[in-house]
Amino acid sequence: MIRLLAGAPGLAELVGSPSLFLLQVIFMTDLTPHSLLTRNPDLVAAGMNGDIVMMSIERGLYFGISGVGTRIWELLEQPTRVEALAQAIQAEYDVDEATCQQDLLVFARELIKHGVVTVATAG
Amino acid sequence: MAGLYWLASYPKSGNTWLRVFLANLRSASTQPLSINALNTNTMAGNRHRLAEVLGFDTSDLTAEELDRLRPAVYRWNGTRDVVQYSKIHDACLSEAWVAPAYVAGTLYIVRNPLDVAPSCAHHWNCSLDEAIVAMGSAQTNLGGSTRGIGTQVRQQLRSWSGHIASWLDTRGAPLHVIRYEDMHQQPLDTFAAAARFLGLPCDVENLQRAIRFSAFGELASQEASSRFVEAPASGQRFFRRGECGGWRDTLSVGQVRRIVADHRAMMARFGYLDDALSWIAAQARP
Amino acid sequence: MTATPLYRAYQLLIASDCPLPELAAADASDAAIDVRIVFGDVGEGADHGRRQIGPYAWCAADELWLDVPEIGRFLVQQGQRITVQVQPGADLDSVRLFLLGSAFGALLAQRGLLVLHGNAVRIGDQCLICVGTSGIGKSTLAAGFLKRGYNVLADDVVPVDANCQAIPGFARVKLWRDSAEQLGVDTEQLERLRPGLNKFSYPLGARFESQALPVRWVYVLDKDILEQPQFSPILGMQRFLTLTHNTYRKRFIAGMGRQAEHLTRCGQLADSAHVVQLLRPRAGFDVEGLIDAILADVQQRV
Repeated sequence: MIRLLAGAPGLAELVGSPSLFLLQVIFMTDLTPHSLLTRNPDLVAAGMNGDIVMMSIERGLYFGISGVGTRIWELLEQPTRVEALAQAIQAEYDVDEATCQQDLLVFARELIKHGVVTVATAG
Repeated sequence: MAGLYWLASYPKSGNTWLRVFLANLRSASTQPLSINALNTNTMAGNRHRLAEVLGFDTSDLTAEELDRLRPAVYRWNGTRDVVQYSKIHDACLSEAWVAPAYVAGTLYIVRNPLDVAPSCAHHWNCSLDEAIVAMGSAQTNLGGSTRGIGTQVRQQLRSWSGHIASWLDTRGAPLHVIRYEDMHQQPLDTFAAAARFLGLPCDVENLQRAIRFSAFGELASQEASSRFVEAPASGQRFFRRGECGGWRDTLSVGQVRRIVADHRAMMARFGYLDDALSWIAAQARP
Repeated sequence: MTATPLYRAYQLLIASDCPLPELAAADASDAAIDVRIVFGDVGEGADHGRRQIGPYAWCAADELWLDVPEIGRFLVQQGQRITVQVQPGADLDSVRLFLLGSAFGALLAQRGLLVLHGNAVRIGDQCLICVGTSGIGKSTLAAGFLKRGYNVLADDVVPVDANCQAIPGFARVKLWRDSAEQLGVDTEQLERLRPGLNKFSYPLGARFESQALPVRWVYVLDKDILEQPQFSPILGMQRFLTLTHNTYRKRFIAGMGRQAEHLTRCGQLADSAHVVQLLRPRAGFDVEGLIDAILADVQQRV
């Protein structure tokens, strides 16, 4: 659902950096349904014919999000807890609760790993 | 840090085969890579890539002006702290093309001109005699039309002998020469030496895997099931025979004599002359 | 003292010390000058803390310094000013080619436009943009459209604004000898773009579309081993990769700090136009057949 747009022809030049494959090792906090996810303000995002493409200005990296991920991104316009995301997705899509929770956590971890969102676990 | 390795050869001399081998060597893949996965962006004659680095349109320049600018592009590419392997068919035009400041080395492949000629005729869609004349002429170019442009820029070849001499005799980065025939007949030694020269893994297991995945049978069967992007525009096959010595069934005595006359010294230098001369003599016997 | 000649192109009022005969002349007016082009010394690329992005190009925020060896050096600033330094012995025709190419391309990007490398043709009340790698046949295709009676908005440098309209350039198309023959034009009657090149300046006259038009179709031209032209829609995020790959001198975008805007513009265009890959047969170049195919495809993709 989220793709690092690396190595595609032309992107290296656009980014102005030779190394698109460098991904920081992000310290993985424990992710719970209560965790609050906030969009990284460093990112510029644009709708792209149904998908979303975003760019980290600071790191010069591009990401692409498709499918249900685009709805999740939309919901993250305001900082949102994982459980709220799960509720919204479950209401809008034909998916059972357990699968929804699980897929969402996986996706959230990817977003965190790529620095697309930050997470706070403070109650 | 000099990061550019030239993979240089006259056309139809095994360059693609070598690149398929290298791609498989560098990949950890347990399956042969697709022949269409070769990165054509790094070819020396890629017009788009040249324009991107230059910052202006190559189509507004003459071929001569562009040839004067190309070393600066390669120098830029070769000093980006990244290793690149770049196929090149141009003759080596000057020391600027092999400056050690940006060229880490040139791997040059030679193939018997008696086998190169029929392969060129096929790829260029011309007669054997026309191919032989082209190979003997110092004025032969790839993509030399001045009435329009293609996606590759004009590449000066010189003659077959002149091409080899230009790369072997121009002073600059380290040079390693391999023969197409040795790639066939002594693959492990030949590919190992090439890999070592290029700074790539040369453990036996990896080499054997890469040799297997780039075997001619594999390449031809891939092309049979899906087109190869570097095949001639006419729609004919790229991986046709890939053998050594097919010239004996293809060339006439007159054609062999012509090629020997044009390239005697270079053929002797690379061990192709004796066979040619004995064959000519054998044809004369009733 | 004579006033600096005024020209109009890309919806800009341009005051230029360098003659620009390809552009429409503009009358002296009270309107504000949008762009000034002057001759002068541009200094060195590394001056003023600019960052080198290629062997001949240096950039800073909304600034490009470009050296075209033996011909000229250009300093393009803030979307408003181009300084041209002519190299000794260079002819103005050659200088102008690169001024109207790379320098203008950078200028338009500095003005916030998405600049594509291709050409824009009027179809009905909208426009079609043809992009593709250098040498793939864009100019030949444009010549074919002209022959059929279609108007051309822009050739080579195609700016698209925030409303996804293609902005008209000027009334000239660059034609190779082969393309000219395709068009049935005798190149003896045309001016050579620069010495030594079999490429000619074809004045469009009434065939120049001077109105900005909404972009409805972007065709990405490529070739393959095929019998017939093949159309494949490009969807979703792939559109970004395609539009980026076909952005005019995209390397400048990062250097000039315009990536965010470029992304936004690509998103706007991706949401409002069809983006379609068009593969033409590699063997031969049947321009008439290709144009027939494009016109049929355009009918289906409204």
